[in-house]
Amino acid sequence: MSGISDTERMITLKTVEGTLFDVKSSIAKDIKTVQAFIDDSDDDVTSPIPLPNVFTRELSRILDYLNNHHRFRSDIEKADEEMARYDAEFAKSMSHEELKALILAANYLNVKDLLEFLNQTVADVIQNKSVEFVRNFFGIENDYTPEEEEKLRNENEWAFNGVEQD
Amino acid sequence: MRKSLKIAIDSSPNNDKEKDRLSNLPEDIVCQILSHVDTSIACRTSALSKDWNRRSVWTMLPDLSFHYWSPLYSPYYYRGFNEFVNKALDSRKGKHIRRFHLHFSSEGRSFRPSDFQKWISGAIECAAEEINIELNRDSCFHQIELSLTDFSSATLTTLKLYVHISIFATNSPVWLPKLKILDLSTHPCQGCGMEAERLVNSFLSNCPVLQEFYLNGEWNMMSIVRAPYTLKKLSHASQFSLNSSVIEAAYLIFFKDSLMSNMNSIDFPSLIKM
Repeated sequence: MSGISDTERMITLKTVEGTLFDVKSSIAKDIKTVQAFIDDSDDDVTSPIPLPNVFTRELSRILDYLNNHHRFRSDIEKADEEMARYDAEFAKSMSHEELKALILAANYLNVKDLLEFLNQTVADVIQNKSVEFVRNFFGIENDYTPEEEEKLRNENEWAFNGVEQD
Repeated sequence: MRKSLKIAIDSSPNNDKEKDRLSNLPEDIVCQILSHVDTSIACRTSALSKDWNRRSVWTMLPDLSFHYWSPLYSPYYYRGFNEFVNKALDSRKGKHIRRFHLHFSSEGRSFRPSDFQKWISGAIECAAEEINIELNRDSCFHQIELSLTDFSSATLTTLKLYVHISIFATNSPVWLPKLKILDLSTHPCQGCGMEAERLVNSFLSNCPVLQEFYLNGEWNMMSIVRAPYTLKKLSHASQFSLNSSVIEAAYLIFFKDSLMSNMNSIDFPSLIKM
């Protein structure tokens, strides 16, 4: 990695709550929504960029993730191993609600790698869980009668059982 | 959903607003998440609510992935699986699928070759870009025999077969104009000689943009096979050794052979030593 120095240009981001974050321009490049804003501006961006959909807690997590990943990538030898360990801890440190909030923020800010990682994390969470669990996770209200639900499950029985029946 | 919104308006503290914001992730995100899970898990979302069933989100996902695992022979369980795979493929008719993965593991010889052929042709009809099949040795009653032409596809970019299977060459060639990665961890019908050469030749001369070729199994070839100039990576693991007098590949940059003890016998001009 190159170009990371003390004199690197900083960009200021402003969350819904009004909290300001100073971000290196090399980090901002990974935040596509912010980068698009910078690219669209005629002059150098000096005033804070408002992020009307992003809360302080999520932005701070996202910047943490990006800063760490930039640091890992600068040390090629240990990069993969350390990154995997960091990612595992990062995923574990969040509740389901926090995970969903972070997905919304990463989606709005268009941070591709992080979004992909978070989607995989959720996929791992729901992979072998019951319909009830998934319903709960996505916050979906069950409007089936038990009979209707039973009928629907029978239509694709193999997918719902996934276990030995005989 | 309408109901939860109403509650958020009625009693407006921030907590409820926060909860409402998260009660449903946008559909495109849910689809991205579901593309990481098995198709059977994705299918279960039809039971979440009437709205989910109506939208049938699971049939819109571009990736299909099936895992069958059963230690015993169970006709009932197998029949359910077969029906489900066929149903999933039927629901994609006229759409485009990205990946078709099938991982089949059974000690019970429950698997039927004719079903396998149907799944492959189903995936190819849906213009799949990637086909990846794994079967363990004891999964099937009979040897699976597939004609080379069964794989012809205008869209396929990756074909991986980790299968106890026989592919046989036919007079009409296979045509894979977009195939970049070919992994044959299987063996040709007659094991060696002419048949193996015909098969490998047929693949190599009808995959004009092939970049990576992995050949594992009993492939014993004697004469020269010319690879497309796009081929960059060739890996071979077999009881028979392979060298540049067998495969001609002018622009190869990676070569690996499990039996290659004498590196001097390799003569690929562009090879970068690993």
